[in-house]
Order: sequence, then structure tokens, then C-alpha cells
Amino acid sequence: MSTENLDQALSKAFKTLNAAEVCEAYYVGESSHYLRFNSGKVRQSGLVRESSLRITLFRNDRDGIQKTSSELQLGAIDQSQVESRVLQEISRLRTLLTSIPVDPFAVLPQRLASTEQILVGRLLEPHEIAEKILSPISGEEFVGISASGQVKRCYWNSMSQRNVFQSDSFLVDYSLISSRKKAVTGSYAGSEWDDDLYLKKISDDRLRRSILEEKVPVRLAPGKYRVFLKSGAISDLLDLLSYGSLSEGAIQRKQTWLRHLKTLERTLSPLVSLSDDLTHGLVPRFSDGGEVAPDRLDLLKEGRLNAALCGKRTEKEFGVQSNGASESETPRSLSLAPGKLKEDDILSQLEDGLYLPALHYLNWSDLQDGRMTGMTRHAAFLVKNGKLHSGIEDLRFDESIFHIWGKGLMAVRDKAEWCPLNQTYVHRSVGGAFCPGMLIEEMNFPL
Amino acid sequence: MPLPLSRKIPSLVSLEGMEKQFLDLSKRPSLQWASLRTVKEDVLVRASRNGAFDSRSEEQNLGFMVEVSEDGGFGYAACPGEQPQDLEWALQSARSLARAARTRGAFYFDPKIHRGMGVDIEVGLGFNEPGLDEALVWERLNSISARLKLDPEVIDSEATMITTKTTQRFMDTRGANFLRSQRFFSFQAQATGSRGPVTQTRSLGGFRAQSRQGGDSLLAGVTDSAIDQVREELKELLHAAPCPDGKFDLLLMPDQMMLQIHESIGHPLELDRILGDERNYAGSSFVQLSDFGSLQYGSEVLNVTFDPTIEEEFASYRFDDVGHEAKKEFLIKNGKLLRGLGSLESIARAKVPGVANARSSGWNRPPLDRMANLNIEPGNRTFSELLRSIEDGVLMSSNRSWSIDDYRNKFQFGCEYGRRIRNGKLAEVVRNPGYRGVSKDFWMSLSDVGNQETFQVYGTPNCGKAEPNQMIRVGHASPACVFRNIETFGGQG
Repeated sequence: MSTENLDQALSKAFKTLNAAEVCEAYYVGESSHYLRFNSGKVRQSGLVRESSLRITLFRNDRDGIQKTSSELQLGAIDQSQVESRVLQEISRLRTLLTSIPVDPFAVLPQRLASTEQILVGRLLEPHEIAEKILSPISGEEFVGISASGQVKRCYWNSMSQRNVFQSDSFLVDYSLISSRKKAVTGSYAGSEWDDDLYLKKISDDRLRRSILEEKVPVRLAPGKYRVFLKSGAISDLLDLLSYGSLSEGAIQRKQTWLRHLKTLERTLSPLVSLSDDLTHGLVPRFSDGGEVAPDRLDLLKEGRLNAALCGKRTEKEFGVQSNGASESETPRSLSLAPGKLKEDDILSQLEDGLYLPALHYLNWSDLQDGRMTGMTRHAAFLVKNGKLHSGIEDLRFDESIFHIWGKGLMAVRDKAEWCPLNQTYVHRSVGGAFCPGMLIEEMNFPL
Repeated sequence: MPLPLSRKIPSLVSLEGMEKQFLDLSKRPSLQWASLRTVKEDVLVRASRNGAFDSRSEEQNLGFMVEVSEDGGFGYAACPGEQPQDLEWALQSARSLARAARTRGAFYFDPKIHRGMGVDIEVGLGFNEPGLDEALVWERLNSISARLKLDPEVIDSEATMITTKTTQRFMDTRGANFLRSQRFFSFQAQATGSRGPVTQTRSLGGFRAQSRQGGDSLLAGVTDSAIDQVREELKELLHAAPCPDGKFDLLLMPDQMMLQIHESIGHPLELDRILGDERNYAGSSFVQLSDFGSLQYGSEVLNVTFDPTIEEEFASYRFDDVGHEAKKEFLIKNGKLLRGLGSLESIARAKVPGVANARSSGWNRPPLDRMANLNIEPGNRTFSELLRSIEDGVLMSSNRSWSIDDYRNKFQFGCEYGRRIRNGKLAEVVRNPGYRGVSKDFWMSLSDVGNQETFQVYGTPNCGKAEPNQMIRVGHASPACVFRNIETFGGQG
């Protein structure tokens, strides 16, 4: 569905609104090729087109604001059909609003900045992808997914705000499995496919896999270990934090550990500075509710809470000034500030401990205390005397963020790496996070 | 034999033009095998907070997927909407991808494994029941969330109702043609309270665990007394000490058993995981293909079934998404592993017995091995007998935290509500109860299984898996169960 078609249809529809009504619309479009592979061969290969439009109608009268929304799928329909479907849906929502209670904390859409971000890429054709990805890895235990194509997100409201984001991108997310059933994971993401870059990544990962092949993984006793959490592991940790933890509404409802920073009862290490950073331009600046975020919002500054993500709804309910966050108050692109630990010094400073490239299946074990649990996974190494010794049998950790980012934090890597999001629930996610590795003292592994 | 389109369920079947066109296209002599799966799903989410409206949203999800097999290669293409002109594009695209995969396939896809299941119609529980009046639903939701907040220590409450109507049709060039219409109901009632440094949340059985098939009338089953119990138990938790750290006998209630079954039996028995498809994402399994028929997975009182026949359970159906007929099957009998969770394609790849569980999350994702309904069969102990068997233990109910490793061995789960058990009797409430263990060892420690009176049906709309990701509905039913000498822990929050 072209943006112009939707522009026209919505423009006409917005003209039919009465004085008490405001309307907004959010479009998700996608044309993706998914190639799933196992043992270096094609497991599933498919093309998926997505085209959905969510329309939200507000009515504002003496009693307050009412609000309801509906999402439609738009196939290959022509201009007149789009227009009639949108009009029909607004009319249906108008009728529904007569039997829906007032929303005490609804905020009417405003006219914020209109924006347009178009990222044009050079992607492989779907029929080329299997050859490009799998030929160099023939006969090896190579498993994962390639997702490639165009994604589009657009927002309009009847106050004349219009935001468009369109991006051509790909992500190859993979694991190279060793004969000892341990995996080296990697990803190659971008907007222009480059054979040499892909081959270099695979070659580097083969080298890492060879270390896993050398020795039987060591079984370690439960206990406390010094660990280096590589950028991928930090990205896994940020994924957990993204769901509700950084929200002002959650602080007000006492449903996040972050409230202890707000009340100054607890602090984190001054080495921790976290921001929601959109300056790289890889994610939309606008949310599905039309909020336009600042280029950069500092959340944690040197271990202290600077601002939690606060949307208009929370502002209305709790009187805390909003800062461009979406209604869900989830970050759009987190960036953790780098520190001073140099790549060459990681193993020597770790000395005896665990080198963890990824964490698996994180969850809160005690949300109020910021305690989380999860597993080591993939190419986790035991380090002895500052050298990689062998792989390990996986361990379960259970540790508080107030230790990991508090007293336990020894050093932060001097470079933050881009960790792309690999989520494809319902639609392909866009964006990712900038994560430096972190050296942690006495991390607790009870199982 | 195609299903005569006149046999449609009036007003529920969409995409009719496309289905007619598929029948025409499928007659092309060069087409070896193709299928069309059309899905129409209407979802309505209504949420109330603290006695007032919080949100209302609808999704009208409509689209189709075409799958093509050619010389062992396999491809798919999916489109939203219902435009017959998209079908030709989808068929050509899927065919082109199938051809590209011919020499690189992980598996030679033989369409003969799709046995041509014929023609059928399935109409699920409550599908034709009229919806409740909108205003009445809001009155009830607001009343529930207000009732949860009656205690001054409650700082936040919510009542959320999710209703879904799905109609799916599957046709293939071997004559399969079935139509399945179902209706789903999920309900969440939850309150958070705070007292000094302690903050706790209690819900009706855990996050969206009240998920089953049926119409809006299921809302009547959410009684005031059940809501009062949630609020009272929250108050108890606010005054409770943390669950003790140590080794105790553990009595798990059915609303926690569902998670235990899901994570440490369901996922490890999925054949596609064992075959390695998920190693980059969800993970693998400690179970080997050679274990089927021989592995003692748990103690002799453990009996696990794939059961699509409990009509109200969330993932009951007569045929899976590729037309494989679903029957109740024992996966584990008297503790021994017999059968895996894999449908026609995985059975052919793995050469072990499976079940009818090829399922997709919607029109835009291909079917693969999913859990559907996975239950523990009732034993013979009354709840009193289960309690009496425990000298020093902990009862835990309603899941709130879950984590397990990628081979499905080491798990750690947390619950909302705990009670100490001393000398066969329930004692004081404990907060932040949690336990950890290793799957097979844990199931070997199962000593007592509750009878039919303790058996309860739950489900969740949020089982995630696969690349690209798919979120799907699963059902779990279980009696209360006792496990011996399990590591438990608490927490300060």
C-alpha cells in the first residue's frame, strides 16, 4: 500500500469528522523474505506481505474523552476501496463509542512534528538469498534465519501530523554449532548486502568455534564467579529491562525496581549511563500513538535516575511531565555509554572467571528487588589466568541489577557495539541497542 | 473431494472468491502440490483499571498463505486481505521459492505425507453464541477492577477480557478441505498492593491463565467471591514473610503445574527442536530421538497426554493446520516416554511417533510443531491426602516468573502465592515463593498426583517459538502434584 494512497484516503476521512472527534491512524507495512535454515540447508523459505492500518477514534465532550481503536488488514485494494474501508470503519467506531465509558486518562492527539525517514538499501533478491548465505557454509552445522525486505511505519492524525518511516534492511541471525553441541552465534545486519563482510564474519566465527571444539565443556560448581558480559549478553539484559522497567507509570504503580532510584534509596555504579538514543536514525522517531521523541533522552546518568520514560497518559494520571515516550513507555533504541576497558585487557582483567557472549531466557525472579534469573548459552568460556580455557556446561544465574550495575560492576568496555533486534513476532522489529561489554565481580550462579 | 462452498457456515466464511480461484489454479497439471490456508480472526481486548475504562482495541485479521512443494523443495507466500488477484502472485512466489530450495532442502518434502484428509467442518464451543452487550461488559469489568481495589493497601488493579473469533480454512491439491471456526476467551484480574517496603501482586491464576474456548458468557464465571479471594490473598502476602530458602517437599497447584508442564515437558518433546530447527532461537532439547519408547522421563505416577478432546480447553481441535486428525495420545505413560510432539512432516523426518500439532499463529506464518493441549492425567489422591503426605513443605500457586535453559534442563520458576505446610496441614502464607531444579530429576521426584477433584483446566495465548517468531494458544490441565525434596527460595520485594 503506497503512502500516497493512504494520505489521500485518510485526508478525505478526516474531513468527515465532527467537531467533537479526533482521529489517528497507524500503518504497518512489510514485504519480507524469510529463509530459515538448519544444518546449512533450507528449512523453510517464504515471502510475507503485511499491510495493516489501525484507526483510533476519540470523542471529546462535556463528560470527558472516549476512545477506541480497530486494526484492519489491507490487501491489494485500489484507492476507492481503501477510502471506503476507512470511512466505514470510522463510522463503526463512532457508533461503538456510544456504549463505551469515558477514559479518565486519555489524551487527545496533538499536532507534533511531521517527519519523514526513508532509508533506501540494496538487498538481495529472494531467489538469490539461499545461495549467498548457505554456499559458504556448506556441510556445516549452521542454523538460523535470514529476514530481508522493506518495512514501513506511518502515523497520521486529524490535527495534520504525518510521520513516515521506511527502511530496506536485512538480518542474518545464526549459530555455528560445534561437535560438542555448543554454538558460536553471530548476526549480519544492514541495508546493503556485502559478500566480503558476510564471509569475514563467518570466518571469524569459525575461529571461535574451533576453540569450543578443542576441549570438553567444563562442569562448574554453583557459586559466585567473576564474569565478562559481552555486548550480546548486555543486549539480552536490556531486552528484559525494556519491558516495563524503565517506565514512569510503573514507578508510580510500584511495579519496577527503578522506583528505588527515584526515591534515592539505592544507586547504581557511576559507570552506568543509559539513554534512549535515536540519533543513528535506524528506528522511527515517532511512536504508534504519534509521540515524537527527542533525539536523545538520558535515563540513567552515572548511576542515578535522570528520567524514566513518561507518556502523556502517565502525565495526566500522575502529574509527571511527559518526555515523548509512547503509551507503553518502552524504549525505542537503548544506548549504554562505553567505559574505559580496552578489548585487549578484557581477559587479563577477568583473570579467572567466565566469558559470556549471550544470556538466555531472562526473567525477573524478584522484580521489586531488581533480581533476575537466566542462563548462560552458546559459546560461554571458562577463563583461567587471563586465557580462554574451555567451554562450560551451562549455568543458571540469579542476581540483582543492583549488584550487576552496582557494586559488582568493575569496568565497562570502551566501545559499544550495535546489537540488532531479531524479533519477528507479528512483524519484523526495527532497530536494536548499542551495548558495551561489562566486567562483573561475584555474579551469583545457584544452579 | 472439495467441500461444496454451499456448505459454508453462513456469514462466517470470508475469502470465498479466493478459495474458488484456488480450486481452478490447483488443476494446473504442472503443479505437484499446493495448499491454501485462509484465516479470519477478530480479536477484541477490553481493559479496566481501578474501576474505570483503561483501553479498548480490536483487530480484524484477515489473510492467506499458499504453500507449494516441487520436487521435494518447499516454499510459501502470504498476503493480507482477500483479493483474489493476490493469489496468483502468492502461488508463483511460493513456487519460485520451492524451486530454489530443491537442491538445498533440509528435508525432501513429499506431499504424500499429507494424506488427503478429505472434507470436514468443525465448529468450536460457543462459536455461535451472541456477544455480550458492550455496555454490560464495561459495567462488569469496571466492577471487578473496583472490587479488587476495595482494600486501602491495594494501589493498582486491572481486569482485562480478550475475546477472539477465528475461522480457518485449509485446502490442498490432494483434496483436503476443512473449515474450523473457534471462539476463545482469556481473562486477567490482578491487583498490586504495597505495605511499607513490601509490594506484591496477586492475580486470578497467573498472567492470562484463565484462557479457554467459549463465548462471552464465560465472563459470568468470574465471580465476586473469586475476586474477593484475590484481594484477600494479596493482603495476606503483604503481611507474609519471604518463602524460606532450603529443600522442602513441594505441592504445586494446577495453575503452576501448567507452566511446569509447558516448559519442562512440552518444549523438550517438540520434534522440530530435537531435529535442531530451533537451535538458534528457542533452543534444543535434552531428549534424543532414540529416547522415545525407552526413556524413564519421570516417576511411575507421571502420565502425560496430548489431549485435543477437552472441548473447553484452549487448544482443542479435530484437525491440525495441515489436516492431520487430532486424537488423545499418551506422550508419557507411567513415567516412560512414548511419543513426541510432532506432526506429519516431523514424524517423517524423525521416524518416531507423533501427534497432530502442526499449527501456525496466523495467516502470515507457516505451521510447525506446537504444543496444543498438553495435560497431566489425574491420579488417585484427594487434596487432603496430598497435604497429609507432607511433613515439612511449601504449597505454591500461580506462576509469575519462568526461565529454563535452551536444552530444557535447568529451570527456575517463581509463583505469586505460597503457604508453608507443616505436619500435613496448611500453615502461614509466604511471599515470593520460588523453586529451581533440573527437568528429568524434578519429574522423577513426583511422588503423588491429585485426583479428578483437584484437576483444573488452564491455558495461555502467549507461547512463543520459531523463526520468524510465532505466538500461539496452548492449553494445560493438571491435578495438584507433590514433589519431594525440592530447592526453594524467597525474595525481599
